[in-house]
Amino acid sequence: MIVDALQEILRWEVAALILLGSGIGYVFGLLPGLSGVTALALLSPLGLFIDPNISFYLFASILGASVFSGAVPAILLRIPGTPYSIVTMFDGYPMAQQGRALEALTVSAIASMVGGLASILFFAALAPVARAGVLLFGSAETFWLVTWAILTIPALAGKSIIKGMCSAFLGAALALIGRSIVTGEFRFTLGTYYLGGGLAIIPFLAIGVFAMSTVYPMMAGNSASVSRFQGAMDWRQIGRGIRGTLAAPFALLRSSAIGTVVGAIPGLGGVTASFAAYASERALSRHPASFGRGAVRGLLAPEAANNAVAGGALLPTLLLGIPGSLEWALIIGIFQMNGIQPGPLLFTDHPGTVWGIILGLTLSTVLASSIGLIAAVPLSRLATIRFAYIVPVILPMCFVGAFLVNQNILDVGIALIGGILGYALMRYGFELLPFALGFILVPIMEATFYQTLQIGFGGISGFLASPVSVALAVLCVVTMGATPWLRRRLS
Amino acid sequence: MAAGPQGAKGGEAVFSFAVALLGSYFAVSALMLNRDTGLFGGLIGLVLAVLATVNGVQSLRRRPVVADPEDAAQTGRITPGLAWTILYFVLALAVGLQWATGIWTAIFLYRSRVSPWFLIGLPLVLVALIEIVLLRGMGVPLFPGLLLGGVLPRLL
Repeated sequence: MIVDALQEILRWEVAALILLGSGIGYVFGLLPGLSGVTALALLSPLGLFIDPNISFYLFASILGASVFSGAVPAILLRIPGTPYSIVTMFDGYPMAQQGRALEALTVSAIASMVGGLASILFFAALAPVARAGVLLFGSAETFWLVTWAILTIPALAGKSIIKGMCSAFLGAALALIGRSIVTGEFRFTLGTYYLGGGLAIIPFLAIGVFAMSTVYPMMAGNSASVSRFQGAMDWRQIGRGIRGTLAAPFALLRSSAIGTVVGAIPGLGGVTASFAAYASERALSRHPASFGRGAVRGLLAPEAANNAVAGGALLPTLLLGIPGSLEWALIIGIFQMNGIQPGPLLFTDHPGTVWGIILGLTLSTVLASSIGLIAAVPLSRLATIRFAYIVPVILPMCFVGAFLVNQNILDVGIALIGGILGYALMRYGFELLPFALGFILVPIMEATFYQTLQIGFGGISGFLASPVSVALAVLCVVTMGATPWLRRRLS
Repeated sequence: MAAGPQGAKGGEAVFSFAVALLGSYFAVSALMLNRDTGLFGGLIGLVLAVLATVNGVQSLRRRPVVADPEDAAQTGRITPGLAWTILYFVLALAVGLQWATGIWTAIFLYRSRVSPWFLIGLPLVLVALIEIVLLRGMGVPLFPGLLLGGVLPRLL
């Protein structure tokens, strides 16, 4: 299958999508207030118009490129392009202030590439083995897995367990609006015909909750006034950056491993991975005092880790159908629109999709890191663009995107309401990932619950019929009990 | 003068209680539906209402509270007496409604006569556990809620 995917990327359409996705992801990672999530949300309607067999190359490329490019303004201007780049500033910005900006960008580019590729290779190596395991999944096993995800991930994400759970249950409740998948009856529609079809993923979740909620706070403020970075290409600095990075191979591998593992645990995300890798390198360093003052290891550790998260998140997303991050939650939504359900059967039903995503991520990581390094200095000026110029571009894109899906003007209204809801959730400290998780997974939970109930002739016997389902039920109980301890450890 | 931490201005509490009301709407609407159509929405609405209420109460407790009524009038903040009166009222209403919904869900499910011990137990155990553990843990007395929970089903 990987050979087919390799042949596929030689097609001009696929190559163009990867290039386009990498470019868009790179620019959105640079722009203040925006991120790969915004780019994915805005472009998600395209998933309906591009051939579904190749559209995932575009989305995987956006994701791969946006993670790296967030580091550029963090290093040059002390503005984290994405939340993942906050730790990158600790040592990246001091390096730039010391006149080592290109060295820092080189370290960041190589570490990002190594981290991204290491995690993707890990997934590619594990996938065939895991594929045999996931085929053991029936409706009961899927039910327990989804239950585990909904009960434990929101508790791990964010600062408050109650807010995480509240966010997940709110998403879950809103996902149940419309026609019941079990009985076909309408429910919670307030008597309206429009809500009978439910809240669609693209207008409501992608464009409303994710994209428009980002635009609302921009309307109220402006970007921070920062001086533009002035610099020129200095090949000696690039050489120093390459030597400095390659001189710490174990630090690179350690940080990549941390990023991969953290990415594979849904809900933790790139920020946790960056902090964990940074703390680990600082603890192991012979010169911990140099951290925060332009240490190469202090820069390469978070960069390798946060880029490895995307590959690590492939594991729960593609193998189990549980989104490992906000970006993957959106990509799952786009899959579902095209009738593809990520999860245990994806490898057997759509193997080309899996390998296409792996290749798309790999190529965009390499592209963003290498070409992005050369263009970093001029492109970093994008990070100083005022919100007043960004909002008028993004807002009409949101409206058009919401309308395009069903060509229904009411979808624009739903996107506006979704935006207000998303903004309120963020404003009051509710995480968006649990919300997306509830919205996407609860319909699956409901369907598998009734399937399993039917298998058990209306009783609970079907829920504990196999060793895997018993193990997963125990896992639910154990992880729920261990959540407070896990939170203490993580904090 | 401020007795509580600065920051929240009550917006979070309002949002949380709005979410709690939405959850209650789901739970109550589920009772009008066929069991298989309404079960998931009802249970999820119930838990959502409880969680959002708890979060609203927590955020109210984090709200800046000033001891001096004059200061409160000038700054637009609230005095402890008023804050706790509102809090108890909202709590009694929210918790009572949720218990009522929980009990009625149980009766509804019992009447449907499918796996009664499993289906009846679930909403009651969820509501009882979450409310008793979390609210008692916060030091909030449950009496007003329990009282209303006992009275409302009879009134309904």
